[in-house]
Amino acid sequence: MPLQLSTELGKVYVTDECIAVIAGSAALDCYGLVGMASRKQLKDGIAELLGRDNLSRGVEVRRENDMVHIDLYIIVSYGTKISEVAHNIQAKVKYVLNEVIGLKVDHINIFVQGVRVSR
Amino acid sequence: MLRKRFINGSDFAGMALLGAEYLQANAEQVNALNVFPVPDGDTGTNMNLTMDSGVRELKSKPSPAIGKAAEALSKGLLMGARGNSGVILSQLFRGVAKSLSGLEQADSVQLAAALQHGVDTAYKAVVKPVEGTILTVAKEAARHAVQIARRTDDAAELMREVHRKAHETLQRTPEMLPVLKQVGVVDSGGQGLVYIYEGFWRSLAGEGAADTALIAQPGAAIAPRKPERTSAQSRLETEHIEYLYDMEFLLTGSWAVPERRLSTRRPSERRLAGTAIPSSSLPTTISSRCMSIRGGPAMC
Repeated sequence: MPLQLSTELGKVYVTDECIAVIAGSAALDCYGLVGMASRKQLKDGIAELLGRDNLSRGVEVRRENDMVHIDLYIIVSYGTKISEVAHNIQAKVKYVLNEVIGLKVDHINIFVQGVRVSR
Repeated sequence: MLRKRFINGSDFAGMALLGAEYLQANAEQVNALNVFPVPDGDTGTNMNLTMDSGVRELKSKPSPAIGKAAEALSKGLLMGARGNSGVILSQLFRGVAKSLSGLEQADSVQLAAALQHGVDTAYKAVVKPVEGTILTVAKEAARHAVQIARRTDDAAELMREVHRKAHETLQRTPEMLPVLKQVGVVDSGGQGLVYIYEGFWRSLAGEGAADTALIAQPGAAIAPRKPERTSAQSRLETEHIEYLYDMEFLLTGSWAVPERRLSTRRPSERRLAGTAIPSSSLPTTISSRCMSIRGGPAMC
């Protein structure tokens, strides 16, 4: 179910896919995050084959009783304070979604799916 | 000026201590610059807490070997990292510590190489490095350090050049990150790093080595460079606000307008904006500007 914004001239719908892309690209701005972990192998696999940017990878938008939840499946860099990186991502995603589409997200859940060790 | 060819563990501890003090003394000013990534005005506080944690670890494990000292600082920074700039700071010094590992003392070439390795490490921990931030300041300063190290064997001279280059790069951050230019500030995290580097070179140059050095001379060397104290978050230009639908004019006079009529005007104002984002969801930066419009001349 897309997000609805009502104006006198009509309604504006913002799809969950769009929200996921905004959330995903906001997260990529955060330091310590080195990648998103795919939850839907098939869908993301096809997008990759088609050579498309897949900014919504590892992002799920859920709604429960009028509450908006966003789940982010991330990979962080080894040697960073993971709790702090996760917290920074939560703050950034919440801020950007409110700024760009006026969406107040109730929960942003972070699932650290991997840690990348470079050399 | 005191020439310093080799830096050992206690020199390094002195540098870190003074760097932390410079940062602490200017934390409020760094807070006021904070507009990216989230304009919540806490960069200075976060960096200060991070640095404080690093210095505490360093004090608890004093070592005459620079490798051990750098490792202690790095560990403390990692454990106490707060905010994006704090995490970046911890990565920078993780790289520095790795490079200095096993050394008793370091000369200027090794010091420059350590700074460069810190930057390399920091750049690895992010998908899309945003330029015009603390990362850029550290990168330019380290690159300069490697060049300077070929010309001088004086570590104090090297560190002073690093600070100068960092400061110069900081002034260019608004050209690299549009949001900074829009608000008219330099990057907050970058500014924090410049203060740390300033402490580093002043410590090596023998200008204050202990905790008390700065507190003894308030307002002298550590006075904030920018005299204005207003926060960056409130300095968004009103003419750049695209949607003016949250403007309100308060009427004063001998006749009163019924409340109901005032409230019926608002939907039409919203329509003008061509969007239906409720005014309550405006970013705080813009709302705070509108507050000042409201406080303007009472006319309509």
